[in-house]
Amino acid sequence: MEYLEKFFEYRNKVLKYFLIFIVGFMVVTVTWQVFTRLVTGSPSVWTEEASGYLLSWCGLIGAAYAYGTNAHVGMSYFFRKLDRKKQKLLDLIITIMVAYFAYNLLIRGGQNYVNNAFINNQTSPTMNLPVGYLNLCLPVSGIFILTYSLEFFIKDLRILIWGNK
Amino acid sequence: MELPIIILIVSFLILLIMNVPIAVCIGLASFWAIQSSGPVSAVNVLGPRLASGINSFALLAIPFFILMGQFMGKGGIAKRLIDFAEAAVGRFPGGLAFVNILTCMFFGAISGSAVAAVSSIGGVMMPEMERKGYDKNFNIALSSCSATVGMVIPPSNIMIVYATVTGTVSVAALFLAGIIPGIIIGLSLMVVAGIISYKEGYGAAKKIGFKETVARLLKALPGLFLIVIVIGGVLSGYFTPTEAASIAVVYSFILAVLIYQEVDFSDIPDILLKTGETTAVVMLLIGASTGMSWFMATQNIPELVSSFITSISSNRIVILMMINVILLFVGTFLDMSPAVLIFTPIFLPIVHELGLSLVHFGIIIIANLCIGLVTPPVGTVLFVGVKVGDGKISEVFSSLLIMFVAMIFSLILITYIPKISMFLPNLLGF
Repeated sequence: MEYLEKFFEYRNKVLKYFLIFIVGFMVVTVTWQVFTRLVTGSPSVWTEEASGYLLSWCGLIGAAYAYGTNAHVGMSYFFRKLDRKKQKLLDLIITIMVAYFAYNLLIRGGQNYVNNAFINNQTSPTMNLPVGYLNLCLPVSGIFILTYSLEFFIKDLRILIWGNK
Repeated sequence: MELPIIILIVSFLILLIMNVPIAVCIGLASFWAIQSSGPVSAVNVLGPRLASGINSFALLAIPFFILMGQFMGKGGIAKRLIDFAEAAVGRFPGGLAFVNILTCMFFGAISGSAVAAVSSIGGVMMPEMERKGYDKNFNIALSSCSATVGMVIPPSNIMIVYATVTGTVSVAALFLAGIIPGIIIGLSLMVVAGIISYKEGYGAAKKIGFKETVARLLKALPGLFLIVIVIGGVLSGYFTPTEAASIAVVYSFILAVLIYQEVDFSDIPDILLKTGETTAVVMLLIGASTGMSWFMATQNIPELVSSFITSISSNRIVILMMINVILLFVGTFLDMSPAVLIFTPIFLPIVHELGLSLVHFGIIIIANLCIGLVTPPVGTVLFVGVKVGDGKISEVFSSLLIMFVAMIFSLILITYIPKISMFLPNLLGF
C-alpha cells in the first residue's frame, strides 16, 4: 500500500511537470512561428504541425491530470442532494464509468490508432516523425487515467467500509 | 426513433444525472450507441477522434487565451479597470452599478472567463456597493449577469469552439460580430440597473474631474490594449487568431510580470499548469464531441431534428423562437462548451434552411447560453457570484428575474435583427 501511494505521488509529479513543459513549449512554438515569419522573413515550416500534436498531448495527458484534480465538470445538481454515504457509493460507480471510458476509448482505441500508424509506416508531413509515436498520447493518457481510477476506487471504498477517518 | 439514437440519448442523460464528467458522458453514450448500430468498430471510431479532433492549429488559440487570462487575472488589472469605469460612468445615479457592469464586461473579455470576472470584479464591487447602501441581492445578480457579457465580447474561447464545430466560420468574423451584441446586452443591464437605482434612490459615486479621468484611462489602457492586439491583429489579416493569441500571451506576460510585477517568476509554473488543466478539460470535451457528431451525422439526427422543427411551423420567427427556447432550457443544466459542441451540429441544417448566416447564429447561440450561466440549478457563474457576495440563491432569484428580462430582450433583438451581429463583419468584408 505504501509503495502504491509513493507511486501515485510520483505520477502526480510527472504529469504536473510534463503539463507545465508542454504548455510552455506550445507558446514558444507558435511565437517562434510568428517571429520567423515577421522578422527573419523565412517562416518556419514545422511549427504548425508540431503545435497541433502538442495540443493533442496537452489535451489528453492534461485530461488525465485534470481527472486527478477533479477538474472535469459534471452536472452535480442531483449528486449534491444525496447524503454522504450515497455520494461515496455513486462516486464508486462514476470511477468505474471513467475507467471503462479510459479502457475502451483511450487504451483500446489508442492502441489500434498507434498500431495502424506503425504498420503503414506513416510519417508526419513536415517534421518527418513516425506518426505512431505521436499518437501514443491516447493510450498513455488512458493508462494514467486508470491509475487515478484505482486510487479513487481504493479511497472511496475505504471510506465506505471504515467511515471517514 | 431508432434504437441507437434512443441509446445515445438515454445513456447520456443517465450518466449526466449521475454526475459523471460530461466528456465521459458524451464518449460513453456514443460508444454504446455506435456498438448497437452495427458493423462499425466503436473503439476505432471514437478513440482516434479524441486525439485527431483536437490536433488543430486553430484550437491552440484556446490555451493561449486561457494563459493570457491567467496573467491578466491578478488584482491590479481589475483595480485599474474599476478606477477607469468609476471615472467614466460613476457620476450617474446608481453609478456604482454602472461601474460594476462596465468593468465586468471588459474584464470578462480580457480574462476570457465569466467566473474570473464575477470573482475578481464582483469581489471588489459587491462589498463597496453594499457599503453605499445597495441591496446585497441586487449586487450579486448584477455582477453575475454582467460577468457573462464578456463571453460575447471578443476575444472569446467559446467562439473558437463554435468555429471549430462548424468547420467553416471565420473566427475573425465571429469576434467582430460579437462586439455590438455584447454592448447591447451590457446596455440593457444598465437600463435595468438605472431604473432600480432610481427607484431605490441609490446615489451617484463621486464625480471625477477630466484630468483624473484621463489619468485613469491611461492606466487602464495597457490592459484594454489586449483586445486591440487580438482584434486588430486578426483583422489586418496579418495574423491568424492563434498567432494573435500567442502575441497576446507574450504581451500580457511582459505587462503582468515585467512591468506591473504583479506576477512573480516563481508563479509561472503554476500558471502554466492551471492553463494546461483548464485547456485539457475543454479539449477532452471537444474530442469526445467530435466522435458524437460523427455518429449523429451517420444517423441523420440533424436532418431529423430539422424536419421535426419545420413540421411544427415553417415560420422563420417561430422556428428561431423554438431554437432559442430549446437552448435556454439546455443552458440551465449544461455548461457552455458542451452545449455548443452538442447542439451546433444538430441545428446546422435548419440554420442553412432558414438562410441564416452561421456567424449570426453563433452569436445567437452564445448570447443565449450566457443566460444559462446565471440560471439555477447549474449556473456556474451565479454560484460563484453568490459565494463571493455571501448570499443565497433563493434570495437572489427575485433580483435575477428582472435582469433575465433584460438579457432575453437583448437576445430577441440579436436573434431577429441580423444587422446587429453582421454590421461589423459585413463592413470589414467578411
